[in-house]
Amino acid sequence: MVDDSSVMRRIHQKALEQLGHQVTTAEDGEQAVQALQGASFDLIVTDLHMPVMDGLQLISAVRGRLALAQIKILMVTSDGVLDVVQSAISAGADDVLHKPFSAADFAERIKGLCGGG
Amino acid sequence: MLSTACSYGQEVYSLAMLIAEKWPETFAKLDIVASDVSEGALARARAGVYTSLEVNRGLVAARLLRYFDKAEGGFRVKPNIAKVVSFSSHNLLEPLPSQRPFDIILCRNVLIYFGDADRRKVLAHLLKGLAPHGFVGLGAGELYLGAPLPGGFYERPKLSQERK
Repeated sequence: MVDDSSVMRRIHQKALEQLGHQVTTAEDGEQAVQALQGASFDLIVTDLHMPVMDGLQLISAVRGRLALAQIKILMVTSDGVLDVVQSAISAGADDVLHKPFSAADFAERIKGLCGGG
Repeated sequence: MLSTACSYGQEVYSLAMLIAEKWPETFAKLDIVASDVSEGALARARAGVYTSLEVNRGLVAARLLRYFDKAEGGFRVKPNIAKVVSFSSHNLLEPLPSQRPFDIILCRNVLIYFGDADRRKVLAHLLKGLAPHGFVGLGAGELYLGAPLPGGFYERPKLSQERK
């Protein structure tokens, strides 16, 4: 769970844990890349706008590494514009959710990406 | 096809997208009428513009990119999808306005708002507008709410079961 806002990290972490996932959090793309080197993950949920390394750069970095090709990526953004969705998908995101979103819609996307519940 | 009580159009456009994806040959000759009693809802459905909050509800990014253009206030259904749908004002308690029979009529999650007598009236109107071998699709679990089906209707197995 990658987001520079501690509030958002906490909310998303809790929601993911309720869906049965073990969650590691990172404050930006660079921290996320470091975390990816230390453990294996099924899913990355990342914000777009972050200092140091943003969501799109993180997605590109992940997709540039063969070992991480299978990892699912959901990008969350408050931009609400098609160009941003296009950039995320082109960079290698699997899906995009627009902020603000409901817990139900978040859960639905996560299940769609990870299968089952 | 007829999609009744279409509200803001999410169901009918989703249906058009689904058919475009799964059965392109059918899509090429597809003609869907979507009806609602509310002119306000029909105006929004015709506009085909949805907010971020609305597309969050089940529309994955790949489909958003494939079927929507950017628009003021959100995302607009692309013309190639919108063109197969026409909208018409209709009260389900009145006979269907169209003379042509429909192969599929969707009447989902609306009968629950009617009493038993009106439900039967609605279903009778729909039956008159149905082509031979056509079917009426109700909401999941909605079925006919315990009352016997009106004459002329019989219960089809679930489509998913038929395909197995």
